[in-house]
Parts: sequence; structure tokens; C-alpha cells
Amino acid sequence: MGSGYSRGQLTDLGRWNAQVSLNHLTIHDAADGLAKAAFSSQELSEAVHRQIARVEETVHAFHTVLTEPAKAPSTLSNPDSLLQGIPLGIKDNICTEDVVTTCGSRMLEHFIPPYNATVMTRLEGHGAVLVGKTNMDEFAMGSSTEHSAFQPTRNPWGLDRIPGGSSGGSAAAVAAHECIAALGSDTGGSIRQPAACCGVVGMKPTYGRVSRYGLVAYASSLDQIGPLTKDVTDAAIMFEAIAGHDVKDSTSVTMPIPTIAKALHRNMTEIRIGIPDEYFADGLDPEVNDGVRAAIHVLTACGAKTKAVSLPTTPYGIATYYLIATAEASSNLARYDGVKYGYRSSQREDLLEMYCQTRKEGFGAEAKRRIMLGTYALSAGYYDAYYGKAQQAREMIRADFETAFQEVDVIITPTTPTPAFRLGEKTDDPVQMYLSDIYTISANLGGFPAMSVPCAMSHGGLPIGMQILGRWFDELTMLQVAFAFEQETDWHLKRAPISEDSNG
Amino acid sequence: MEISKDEVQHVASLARLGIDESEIELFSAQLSHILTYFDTLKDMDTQAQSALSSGSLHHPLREDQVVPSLSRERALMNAPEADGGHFQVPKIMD
Repeated sequence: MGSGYSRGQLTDLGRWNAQVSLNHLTIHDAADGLAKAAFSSQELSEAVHRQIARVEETVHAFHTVLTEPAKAPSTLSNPDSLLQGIPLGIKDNICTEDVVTTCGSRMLEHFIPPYNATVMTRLEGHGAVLVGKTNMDEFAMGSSTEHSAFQPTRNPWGLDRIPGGSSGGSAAAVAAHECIAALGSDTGGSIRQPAACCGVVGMKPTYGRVSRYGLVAYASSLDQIGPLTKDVTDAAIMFEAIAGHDVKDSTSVTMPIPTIAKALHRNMTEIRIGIPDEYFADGLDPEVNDGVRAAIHVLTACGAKTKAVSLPTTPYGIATYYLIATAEASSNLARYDGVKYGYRSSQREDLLEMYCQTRKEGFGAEAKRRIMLGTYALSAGYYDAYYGKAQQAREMIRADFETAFQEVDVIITPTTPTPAFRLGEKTDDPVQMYLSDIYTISANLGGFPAMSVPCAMSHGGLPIGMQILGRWFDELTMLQVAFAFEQETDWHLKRAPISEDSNG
Repeated sequence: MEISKDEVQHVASLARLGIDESEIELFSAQLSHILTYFDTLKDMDTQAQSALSSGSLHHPLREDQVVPSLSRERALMNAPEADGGHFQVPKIMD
């Protein structure tokens, strides 16, 4: 059977020597195995598809699974890349040429992009293989993937739990080992929060690092694409592959991408970690608090110094974020009018009626709620009190972090206030749902990089995530701190029960 | 902050969003609840702060040159209604 091989044959990794299924591998281990011809990329893909056949009916991580590659791999061959032949899940708001891209919405249920997002072009250039498109909250609006127009995704660690959102499908697919790694998008925490809920690594690069050309826009001053992976090295590999300037996205920066994946070792005695009291206050689950504090202790035992930092604007984050995000969304989603692509209502007496009916029938409840909120915040008479005020607040939040980063190299906080909550628990209360993003939104408002790494487990067997925030364009230091933590611990090696292959 | 049903109706028409009576009721209650939460922002002293937008380090400009783009056929492939060369929409005037 091609799916099992002894990890000991590959390298002297030596952590364990047990038989593992190929779909359980990281990118770097799989690349190693492929390079040594321990197995073929065909066998790797087959192992991933067998896992999908076994667990997908329960997990629902994907909206679309490709049975064969969209493009012949021979035309994409890039033997120098670690991503050559690696099966990836891609969030369903990232355009994939000739592969349906729904954005979790009825509005785009049958939308077939005539072009690739820049990140897809880059990954295909590396020879990566598209496994499927992952489920998500409609238009990336949500923190639980329950706002998908099609079906909710379940958390592989607890099937009655949400996987987080909006990139819940990508996080669940990686945690259930239905792909080797995935891409998500993060507007207010939509990569990091599901990564924390599903016990995987999730990274939002600095705003401007990764082209958004071909990403279905939600809130353009906040959106960023990033990886969800099984470990920190894989996040660095994915980041290096997708980052860089793109003439098709005028917000992408021309700054060179440093070599990261091969530079992850760093002496922690040089690192100063900022700990903001405001992120360890009321509302934080005690188990999350203990888990993150214990994780910080692991880093200080490696020689890192900690320093208390103050972020006094923290209580205003959620309101600021939801005003700006919904205002931008109401503008971005104006394009769904039933004319050029997407759903069109059959009720069409005249043009105006066609617009209104198309949008009534095509959008789900949360998308409508955010369009309404954003339109209200931008409307005459309320603009200064809401949108204008939020823009000022955003600058003050950003300035808080700028001050803190003068004294520390990274800031560490919990990623989420609690472990994954139950399906249905917050769907009727939008404000409670919005509060799930309380620790993640500031990185989007400020534009700096942030990531979540698994750092503990709750007594109920649910993963807990630690968030590491870095200075603008200093993904390297952030990833080095995450890597140092990972070297000392084995949280990233823990597997969700459902992901275990019964036949080894 | 209370949002009346009339205001909900007005905002929906600005957004070109058709809504029915039950949604008006629901949005009136939910938007009021959310905006009440957002009132926390009123406590924040932002007087000294300008609302500069974050981010961009420069204004990227390029030459306005014609480059290859989607074919007409590919551009129309997702159109709900097209006649082979154009997007078709319901009549705008009689």
C-alpha cells in the first residue's frame, strides 16, 4: 500500500519512527520524501483523496473537491520548489481559473473565474496541486463558517464545535489532513481564529505583502491572504511562495521578500516579548489564559525577555473594526447586481427591481446585515459620527502598537477568548459572534503581521492558540519566535481523532 | 441607538437591497443592538487625531499601455444574460 511509509527512511528526524499516512506529512517532509523518491506525487495526492473520501462527509471542509488536477502537472513542473506536487486546499474566495469559486454565497454559486488569482498563479508556478476549494462564511463574513450558504464545517477536534471562521474550511481541511496545507484570507482574524480553533498554524502577513488580485474583496483596507499549515516551517514556505509585488494589485509593496524558511533558527536571548495586560483581562477563558502564559514561559526559558506593554485603545477595537469593515463591504458588494456575473433574479420588471430582487435572493442574512450596517454608517447624517470616528480610532489603535513595538520585537496574546464554541451557540446574537474577533482585529486595523500557533489543549480536548504579532514587514522575527516555541513543544504534532487513519 | 423601521427601509433602498416585512423587523432590532454596542466609540477622545488612512507608502503609477486581457467570450462567460457581444439587462426606459 503506497500510503504508508516509514518516516525514518527519509531523514534522521527521529522524533518517531511509526508508519504514517502520506496525507499526514508536512510540506517540508513531503518534499523531502518526493526528492528522495520514497513515494511519488501521485501517491501523495491519492493519500489526500483517500482521506477526503473517509472524513469529508463528516467534516465538510470543502465546497468543491477536484477529482483530477485542473491543469496537467507536466506543464507546471518546478523540481526546485518544495511545493512541487504538494496538494493544497484553497479558500473559496480565491479565484481559480475554470474552477467554480462561490465565496460561500448563492450569489456566486455557479461563478467560474476566467482567470487565476495571483497567489494561484504563483502556487501553480511552484508546481503545487489544487485539491479543492474550502468552505467559508459567505463573503468571508463570520467567525464560525456557519454563515456559509451551503453547509457548516465541523471542527475535526469536536464535531459539535465550530472550526472558526471565516477560513474554517481551510483550517478544518488541514487539521483533518485532507490536504497538506491551505490558503485562507484574513480581514479581522479569519485565518488566525480558525487556526486556533483547529490546532493548526495560521499566518496573516503584513498588509501589502501578498497580492489580493483575484481575491473576492470584502474590506479592501484590511483583507490579506495567508497560509494555514501543520507547522511553522510550512507557513514560511507558503509565505515565501505567495508574497511579493504584483502590478495587478496597487497596494502590494515592492519590498524584497527575505529568505525565511531557511532562517528560522534564532537565539531567543535577543528577543523582547511584549505582553499587553488588556489582552489578558475579563472575558478570557481561564484555560486559554493558562495555556498562553505557559507558552510564554517556554519562550522565556529559552532566554527571551518579557515586558509589559500598554494598548489602551483595545476596548474600542471591535466597534472600530466592524464600522470600517462593513462600510467597505457595503461598497465592495455593490458589484453584485446580476449584470456581469453571478446570480440574477427571474423577477425583473425593470432594472431597479432586478437589482433589489437579485440582492435580496442572492445574499444570506449576515451579508445583508453587514451591507445594511455599512450603508448606514456611510449615509448622510451618520458618516462623521460612525465612519469618520472609526477612521480616527483606527489611527490611534495603530499608534498604540507603533509605540509598543519601539520597546519589544513581538507581542504575544491569546488568539481567541475561548476554545471553539458549539455550532449554533452564537448565530442568533451578532454582537457575541463579533466579540470572537476581539484579539485578532487590531493586526488588520494596524496592518502588521500576526500568526496563531497551537500552544495548549483544553480539558475538553480542544486546541488553544497563541497569537504572535510582529512589526510591519518583519514576518521573519515573528516566525522565528513561533519556530523556537515549536522546537520546544509538541502541540503541532497532536492529531485530531478523526484524522487518524484506522488502517495506519 | 434605535433604528426605526423607516430608517431600515431607507437604508435598504440606498443599498438596493430588497427586504420584506419580517426582515425589516429583524434588522431594526439587530442593527439597534449592534449600534448600541458601537456607541462605546463615543467615549474615545479622538479630537487630536486626523483620519489619515493607514498603509500605502507611495502612490504607484504606471504607463497607460494596452496589454492583452480577457477575450470577449471569456469576459461574457459568467453573464446571466448576454447576446454574444454584450451584457443584457432589463429595459431602463420605455
